[in-house]
Amino acid sequence: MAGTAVLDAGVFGPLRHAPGRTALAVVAIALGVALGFAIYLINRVAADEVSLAARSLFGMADLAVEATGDGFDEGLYPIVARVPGVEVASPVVQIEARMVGRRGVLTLLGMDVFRSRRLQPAFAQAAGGGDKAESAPVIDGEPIFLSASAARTLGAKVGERMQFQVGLEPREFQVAAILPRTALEDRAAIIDIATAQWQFERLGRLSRLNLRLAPGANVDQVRDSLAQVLPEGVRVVTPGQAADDALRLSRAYRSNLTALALVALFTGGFFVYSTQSLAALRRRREFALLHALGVTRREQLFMALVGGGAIGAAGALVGIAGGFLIAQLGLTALGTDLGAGYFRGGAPALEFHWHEAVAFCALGIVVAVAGTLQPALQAANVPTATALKAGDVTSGDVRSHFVLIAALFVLAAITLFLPPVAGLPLPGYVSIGLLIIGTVVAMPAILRSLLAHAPALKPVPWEIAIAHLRGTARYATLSVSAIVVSFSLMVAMAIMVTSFRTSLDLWVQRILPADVYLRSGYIGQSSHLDQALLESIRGIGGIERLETSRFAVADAIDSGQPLTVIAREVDASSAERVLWLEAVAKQPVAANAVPVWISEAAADQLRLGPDATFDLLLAGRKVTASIRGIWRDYEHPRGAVIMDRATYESLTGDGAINTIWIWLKADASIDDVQRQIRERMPAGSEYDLRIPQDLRRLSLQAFDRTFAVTYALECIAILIGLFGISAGTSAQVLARRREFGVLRHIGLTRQQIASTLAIEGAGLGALGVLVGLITGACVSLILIYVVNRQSFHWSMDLYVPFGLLGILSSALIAAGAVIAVVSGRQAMRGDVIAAVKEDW
Amino acid sequence: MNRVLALLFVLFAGVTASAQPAYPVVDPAYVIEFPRDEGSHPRFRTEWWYVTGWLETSAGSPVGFQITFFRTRPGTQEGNPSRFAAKQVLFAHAALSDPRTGKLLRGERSARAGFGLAESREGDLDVVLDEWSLRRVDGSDYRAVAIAEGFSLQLDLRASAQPLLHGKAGFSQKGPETSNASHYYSLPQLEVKGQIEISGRKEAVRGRAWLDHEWSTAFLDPQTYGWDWIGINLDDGGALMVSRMRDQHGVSRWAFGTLRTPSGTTTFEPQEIEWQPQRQWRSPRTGIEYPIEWAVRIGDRTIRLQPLMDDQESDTRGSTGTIYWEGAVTAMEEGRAIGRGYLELTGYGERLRL
Repeated sequence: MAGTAVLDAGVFGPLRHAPGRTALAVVAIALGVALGFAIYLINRVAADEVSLAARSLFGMADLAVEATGDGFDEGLYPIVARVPGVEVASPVVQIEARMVGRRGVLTLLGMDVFRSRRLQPAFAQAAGGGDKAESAPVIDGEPIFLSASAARTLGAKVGERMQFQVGLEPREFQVAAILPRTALEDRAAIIDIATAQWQFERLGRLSRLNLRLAPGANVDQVRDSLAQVLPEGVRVVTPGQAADDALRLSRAYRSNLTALALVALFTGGFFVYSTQSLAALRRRREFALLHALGVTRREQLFMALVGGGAIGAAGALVGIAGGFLIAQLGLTALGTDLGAGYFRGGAPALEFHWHEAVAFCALGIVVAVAGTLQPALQAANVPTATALKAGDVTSGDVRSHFVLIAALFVLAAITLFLPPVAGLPLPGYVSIGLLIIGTVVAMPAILRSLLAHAPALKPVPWEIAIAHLRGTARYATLSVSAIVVSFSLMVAMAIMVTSFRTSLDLWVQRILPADVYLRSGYIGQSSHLDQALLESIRGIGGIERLETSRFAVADAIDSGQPLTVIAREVDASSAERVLWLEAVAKQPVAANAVPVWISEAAADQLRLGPDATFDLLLAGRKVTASIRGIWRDYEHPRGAVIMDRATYESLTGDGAINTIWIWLKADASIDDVQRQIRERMPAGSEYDLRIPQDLRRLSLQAFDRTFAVTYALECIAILIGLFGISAGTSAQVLARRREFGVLRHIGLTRQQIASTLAIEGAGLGALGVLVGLITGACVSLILIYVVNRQSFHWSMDLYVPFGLLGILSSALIAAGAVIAVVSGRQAMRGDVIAAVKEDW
Repeated sequence: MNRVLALLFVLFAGVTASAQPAYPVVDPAYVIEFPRDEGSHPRFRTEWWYVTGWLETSAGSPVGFQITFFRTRPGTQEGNPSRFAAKQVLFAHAALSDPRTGKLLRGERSARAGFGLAESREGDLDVVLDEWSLRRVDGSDYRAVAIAEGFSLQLDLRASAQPLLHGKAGFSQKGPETSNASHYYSLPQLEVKGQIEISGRKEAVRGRAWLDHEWSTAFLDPQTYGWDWIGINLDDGGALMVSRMRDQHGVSRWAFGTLRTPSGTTTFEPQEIEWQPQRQWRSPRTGIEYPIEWAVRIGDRTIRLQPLMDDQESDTRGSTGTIYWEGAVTAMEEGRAIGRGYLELTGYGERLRL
């Protein structure tokens, strides 16, 4: 079977011939596929879970009527219930209830069981019917029905009492039943609607009406009819929309993570490219021989691609298995948001879907085959006669593709100015990709020009190393390219993360000018502080002054965009002092408008600048707001609006307080004041009493948790990069046996040859580091000023971690030297005398 | 009378019931007045309006129907200022017995009263629960509407006879103690005209119906396990209501009855009434055995009851939590049909809870 023999010689022979390099290529692809697959799986599970949870709040509703903030007047309920085509209207009061004695809040759904059971039969059955065990605990308290997820994460049992905090007062419930998963997916609980309204200070208000349409009703017609009866700010949504909204906040984070994961795959593909290119150079004679034996160039190309495909397939298979494991570990250890705090709920089960695995497998193979393509074309075009001649080892020639390089860089620059696509910074990523490819293409030119200017130093190993690199510029370029790719990305991430972290740190210190903070509750949460407590705290000796803030939510009327409202003591003169203003209004406040200061995220989403006015729907009232300034904010992802507390209170009648800012007199003891505040808090109430240093520490901890996965991804990219140096050096080992033999003959010591190798490796490493630093710095600027700005609407200042970069650079150069020596040892071993005799 | 109430609500609104509210006691001296007492008596714990009867399609096929509205005052959220507080809860139930299919069609609704979506008016009969309703339109004209999944009923009812007050002028004792009693009257001999719709097919119907209205606070005594009840429109223009309470061994604890004949109205004492089962039918769904043919002795007369069809069992475990048999029956005396009406059999599976 000559065909098989040829195929074996053309495809698998070479793979077997260099098992180390082949294995490394497989590992590189496997790592890329594994990371991509793992991140994808985790994102998918998160998305599924969030949308399932969001959907389950709607039961089997076809549509829902809802409003931002504290909802709408209950008088709308009978009106909507009577709209033709509406078969069931199930009213819901949704409360973010602060748990007493447990961390955090629990979503409570106040429902009318008579209405909701037509939408959520599973829930009614679980709660109302069913056989009660004899030993079931007696339920004599106000009943609460926990979802399975809530019961699991809270570790709550039937019969157990639970307390929630309204204002500073506790309200007690008793777990009457645990609902089955099918009834309610979210981490939530159900209570009676009248109880919800009364006990949680929501009399007269509803959060939502879940609607089921009559059979045969036309959804669009019903929507139109509803639109006619709904007041401003109350909207019709589908459960799917709600799920999308729930996902939108985390989308930028998830897509950035995916991009990072794909970088690892990209680096893996690049590694395949460099190993295959090296192999193509080394095996010129084999190819020529195959041609001479009658294998056509097309067949040869095919064989090379099959080889690449085999590497891809092997890597992808390992990667799929690894990715699934990583995803499982990640979900268990960090949760679906990988520690970023976007989602709630426990660790969900991870399901394996074949089509996803096949897709990622294919991606790995495509990347590997793409990496093989250029070297394969080159190999197929080896001129048979010349290559067969003895002595034709490599042409170390390198061509400088100046036009291509220029084109790539210009294109990268142009892409930077394109707007984000669907809210995602895709052009920014494309620009980064182009920049890196451009750098890689430019590497030969850079290398040549550097070698041309290399200083002539005395030591023999140095001279030999430089001469060798000059002679094998193409090898050298290929070895170093993978390092350039991975190191530039690492540099970019390091600079970006440092800039972000430092900016965040400075910001936290700036926005927390008070000495002590007392806080309870957040937007829509049941717990809060009140005026009586404020007055009581005012009486504590040692306190110089107090300020307060209150969180609420309002809709921007034009876009429907919900914005966080922060009511605090602020005016034109103090804004500069208490906010980190990026832009300030120049004209006076428009007539009848309320002065507000909006966050950068809000400014981006509203597309408005200082002095502009816009309409807000706040507690059911239309309010015209005049933008007095735009402030830097890392806290409220959907955008925030600060307005003066007095204005807010007169508009909404809401006098509750979430945070009290406390400034102390110069001689006051902070511990003493904190103790006195604690004494004034109702017993058993849940609140946070913190000093700015605590808050700063917590913010930075949260930041580091969010970026933990990023750090891990970077390290893997670097690892793949180091494979490049190893592969580059070891690829030449055989070819250089003779060279080392000659060098030994003319009197060089083993030591000196090792030095030569070390200098070569370190030189390559240094080159990679140098180019990587420059490219990485450029990429970091794109990340900071384009990608992050577009993803999260966060401005940050540039801070370069010189120390970290110095350490990384030195480590990488050293690693280059070590790897070169280790790889070269093979060549130095054995019989050098014999090597010289080897037949040419 | 009947009847079957939901426990579901109690579970949700909580049994915390600070203290039981002051429910009024059924007063033997109370004088029932029309139309005032046709309306709701929301201070009492339970109340129902129960329409049962026989219809005939234009093709001449007989169909049994019932439409019922229940009102209950659970007494659990009386102090809650929310408009959603379930101070009154309404339930509605409708069924069609169509011997052409041999199957019982059932539908039900429930809601806490309020927002105009579910209300029971005081002073006149006007009960509404979403698109279901029972109201006095004018004079002796009533209208009942029930729109369930798979079938609907829209019936005009006209009273052709005087109201029939049970017990002592409407004070109806339900057990050995006078404290277990209700206010109870019936509107027999209602002439029915209207329309029924089954699986989208509309049919004009005519027929004769019976309306029970009963309100009470302490209805059953603790040893009552279930009851049997009939309300029959007699062909001679008269009316017959007989009922009895059974203990857990099926032995009569109490019985009462009212018979109106052209010559006058008679009420019967417990010892004058005897229920003798004639034929058992076992439900294939629940396995419960019901005596669906009876010989009922009242005074010196014996009435035999024959069902329109066997399977008229209602399984409401999914909502109100009870299983009972309630269906159209023909009343026979000496081998001859003398009237038609409804038979209700409760507490044959498990104890009935109110």
